[in-house]
Amino acid sequence: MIGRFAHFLDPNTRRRLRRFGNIKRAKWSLALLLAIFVLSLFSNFIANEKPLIVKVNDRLFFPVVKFYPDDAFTGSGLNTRPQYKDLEELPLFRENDENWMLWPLIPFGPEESLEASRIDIDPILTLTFSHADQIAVVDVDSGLVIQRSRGAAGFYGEDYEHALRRQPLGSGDVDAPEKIREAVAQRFRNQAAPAVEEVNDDGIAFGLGAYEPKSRPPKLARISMERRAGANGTEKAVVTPEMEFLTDPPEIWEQLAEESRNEILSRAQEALVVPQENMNVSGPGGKISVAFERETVEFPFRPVKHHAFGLDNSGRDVGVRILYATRTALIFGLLLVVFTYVIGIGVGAIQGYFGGKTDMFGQRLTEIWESMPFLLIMILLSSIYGRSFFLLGFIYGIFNWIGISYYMRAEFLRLRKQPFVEAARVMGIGRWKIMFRHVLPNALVPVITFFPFALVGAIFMLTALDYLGFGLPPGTPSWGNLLDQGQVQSYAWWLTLYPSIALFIVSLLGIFIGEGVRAAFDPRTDSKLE
Amino acid sequence: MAEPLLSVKNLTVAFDVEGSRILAVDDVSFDVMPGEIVGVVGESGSGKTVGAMSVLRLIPSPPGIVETGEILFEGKNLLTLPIKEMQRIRGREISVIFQEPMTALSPLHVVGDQLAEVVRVHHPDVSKREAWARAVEWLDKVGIPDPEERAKAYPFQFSGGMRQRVMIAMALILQPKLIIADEPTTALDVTLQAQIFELILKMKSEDTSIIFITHDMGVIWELADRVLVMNEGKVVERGDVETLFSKPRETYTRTLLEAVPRLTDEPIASPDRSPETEPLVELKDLKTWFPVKRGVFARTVDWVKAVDEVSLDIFPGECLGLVGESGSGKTTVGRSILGLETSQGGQILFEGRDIRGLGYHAMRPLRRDLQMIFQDPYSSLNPRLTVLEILTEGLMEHKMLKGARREVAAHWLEEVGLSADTMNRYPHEFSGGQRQRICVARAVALEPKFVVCDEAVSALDVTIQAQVIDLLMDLKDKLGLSYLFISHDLSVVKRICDRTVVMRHGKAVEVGLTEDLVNHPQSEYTQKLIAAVPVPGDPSKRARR
Repeated sequence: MIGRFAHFLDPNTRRRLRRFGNIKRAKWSLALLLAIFVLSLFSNFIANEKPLIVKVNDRLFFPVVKFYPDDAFTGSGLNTRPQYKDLEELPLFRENDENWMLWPLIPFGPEESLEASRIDIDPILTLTFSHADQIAVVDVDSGLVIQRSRGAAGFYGEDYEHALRRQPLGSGDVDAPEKIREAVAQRFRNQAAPAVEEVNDDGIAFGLGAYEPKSRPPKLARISMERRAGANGTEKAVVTPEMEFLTDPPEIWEQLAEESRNEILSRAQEALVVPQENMNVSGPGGKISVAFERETVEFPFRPVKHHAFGLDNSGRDVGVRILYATRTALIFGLLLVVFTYVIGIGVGAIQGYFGGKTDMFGQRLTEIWESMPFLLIMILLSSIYGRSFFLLGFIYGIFNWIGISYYMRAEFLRLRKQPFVEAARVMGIGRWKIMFRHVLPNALVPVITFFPFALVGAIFMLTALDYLGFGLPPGTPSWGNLLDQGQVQSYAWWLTLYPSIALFIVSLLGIFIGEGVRAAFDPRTDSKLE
Repeated sequence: MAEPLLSVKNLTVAFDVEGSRILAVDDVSFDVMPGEIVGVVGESGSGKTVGAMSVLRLIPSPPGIVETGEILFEGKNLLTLPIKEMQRIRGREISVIFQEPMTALSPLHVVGDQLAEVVRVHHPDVSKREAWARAVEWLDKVGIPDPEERAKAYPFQFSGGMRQRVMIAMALILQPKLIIADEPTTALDVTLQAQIFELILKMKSEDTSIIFITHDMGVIWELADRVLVMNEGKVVERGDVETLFSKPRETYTRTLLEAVPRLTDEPIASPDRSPETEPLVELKDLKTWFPVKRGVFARTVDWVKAVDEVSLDIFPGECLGLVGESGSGKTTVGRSILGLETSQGGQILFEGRDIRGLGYHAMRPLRRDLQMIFQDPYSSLNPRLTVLEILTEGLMEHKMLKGARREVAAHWLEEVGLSADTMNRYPHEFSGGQRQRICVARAVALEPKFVVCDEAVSALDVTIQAQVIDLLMDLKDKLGLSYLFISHDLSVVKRICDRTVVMRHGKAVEVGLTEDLVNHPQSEYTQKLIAAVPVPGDPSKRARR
């Protein structure tokens, strides 16, 4: 299919194009990558914090392509950049149907930090029920009857401590474990015993200190009782603003008294507006602590309605930033590869064609140049001139052409001895014409097959430098920058996953294309000999 | 009559090339008797190699498919034999001598190991030491001096002729019943070729048969008992050598035989030069030495004296032959005149002016007067330019274009016998002969005074060769050109050159009128060279068998 439009090309190139067209995977990868590239070129019209078209007082404005001062819309006399989203709220637009704004598909810009209040999250509340921390001491006599107690009422579901007097240790909701009963009996028998601790089925830890035999048996034995919050399990429940449970109500809910429930719900109602402290209610087996948690928007924020890819740590839409970063990466990659190719092909061609001393000196200079530390120079220069897209491209470019120049040098060295080049020399064709017309087109095979791989390499390099913070200026949307944020906030998986997927897809497509190009240039037929 | 050793019946082999099917071998049948040498002769693309290689099932598949036929070797059909048995037959029963011994031998192993491996693959019971001894013995038999030491050398340490001897040792070491020799001497000089023939005849045992594939009728005449003439995948004619040469039945065979240049041919050119004219090109003690560089700083430690004090002159309208074997420096002479190689000493006078060592800019105006036609028509045309561009590029460079580009190109295409409609095509769309015509057109389009033809017809099939020679001679008379005709083939030179120079080891050994030189060679080397040239139809050459 491609071949049909290429009748002006020489047959070798035509055959290669046709072969490339026959490799399905490579062809579709190319189509897809081109589609991604073209789409990303229109990023400004797909995702922007400025409207595509504004109509005010019968005048049309195109904020995406042109800058208008605030004054143009409000007559405020300000020459500053207008906040279109705020403008839209003004009566000028609100109350007049003639005036309107047409927004892009995604009305967020790559550098637009959204306010937390603008993030539309469902106002749901998470209730966490857990037993409050309880520590108590009880003194029991030899019949395991409580004689004195401190703080133990909660364990027995009583409101007042004196209600426990003369109650057996294992009564009501409390079950005293056998081991503790045994240990108490030992103390009353005046036998030496080590310290004991035992947790019963309800999660109450009973403890007894070590006992040395005394002249006579003790009158009372002191038992500590302890229940840590959460030791008996916590339960979570999610409620809507209408105070309905989104899931089945937690088990504990059923066991709470009606008034406790109402108390909790009324606090929950308040918690939707103002954050509330934890409250305690008495429930089965002691005090229950209830925490109210309303999700607040804190950046970076998880994927949510209108922001399917989440928000980064400045409240910028990750999806939009990935879109713009794709454009940056692909344009950077292409420019860089073209730039390195121009230098590399030029240097390699001159070295290879003229050979001899030119080649010798060229090679030595290249080797000296190659030994300069790229990263150091990058950091040095960007600290002087500031980080910028073109500085990065330029510095990376002037260090990256060396590999290409080696390829070209070898090809030129080979081709300059070919009879058709010698024939051109004998005809008296000028040197530069021979280089460009006769040698160069025949020398391009290795660099063309290398092109997609070089592109992927350049994109990876850009991402790596951005990740390290030596790349594009801060704030520029880039995959590396998102990955860097993702590393700092390691829970924010959306900052790592989505840019990685973008990088993965682009490099995979690039490699598939490269594979196809290589196969098209070098058809290793699958013929075999017995 | 005895049973044939090999019997090929109705063999058809097809190749799938980019969707279309090409019959490389089309319904070919032939027998090979024990002890017989069957010559298969044909031009390039006639299917002779594919036919012979199918015997060993060495056709790459895809694209090649054996469509029909059977190949009976001692009664077994080789095409249906299990691959295990086939591998047993390869090398042991049937072996191959390839054209290019450099590529047929593994560059990473010493030749002794490669020979010993052949032995041990087919006779696993032979010990390594024994196999090595056998290898050395055979290297000695094929005439490698000091075989004990040379067995430890790598293929690249051998000269072309010696490598071919190793190849022959490898083919013969297992005493196969059938040897397929695929142009084994094409890459070699004539004197070496004669030695290899003798060797093959000497080494082969009584009942060993040989299928000898070649494009050279002279080789067939010297070696073969019977001939198959192939053309476009078909056997055109067959018969015993003497009958076929004396009474060819088919037109194709006749054309083929007539096209073969022979030393006995009458020359086309007639030397009618008056002796007092000034030479157009004159070489005086030309020295072109190539430095041999070693070490870190690439010091020049030695010189290869490719051209060493050669003097010759070429008169206007003359065709001077320059003959020699490979490495004699004949090509370097031509390249030195055109400034493609730097000469260290002597003079190159063109119209009385010394052009040796002229710089790029000083040389440029002279370029149009000095042209060259190269040996290989495939690599001497830029694959990315159309014929139109190739033909007019030089003219435009020298601002010599008179009239429209297309008309000029059409004129020159017709001048070399091609249709003007082809000017928009690319070189690969032409056959070898047509390409060489384009090369000729490119060279003469600049209306030069002097053209170096560097083996200009050596890579072409004989029938095409004759046509291109005729074309060159026509153009010479029409445009008043002078040629330096460099060739290894004395028969061609004999036909077209007024005078001939014989070169050896960078020196001119003998200079003289071609007629005298061929009939009464003075130097010993020239005599040897002429004796080695195969002459089809000459009974004295055939008696050598």
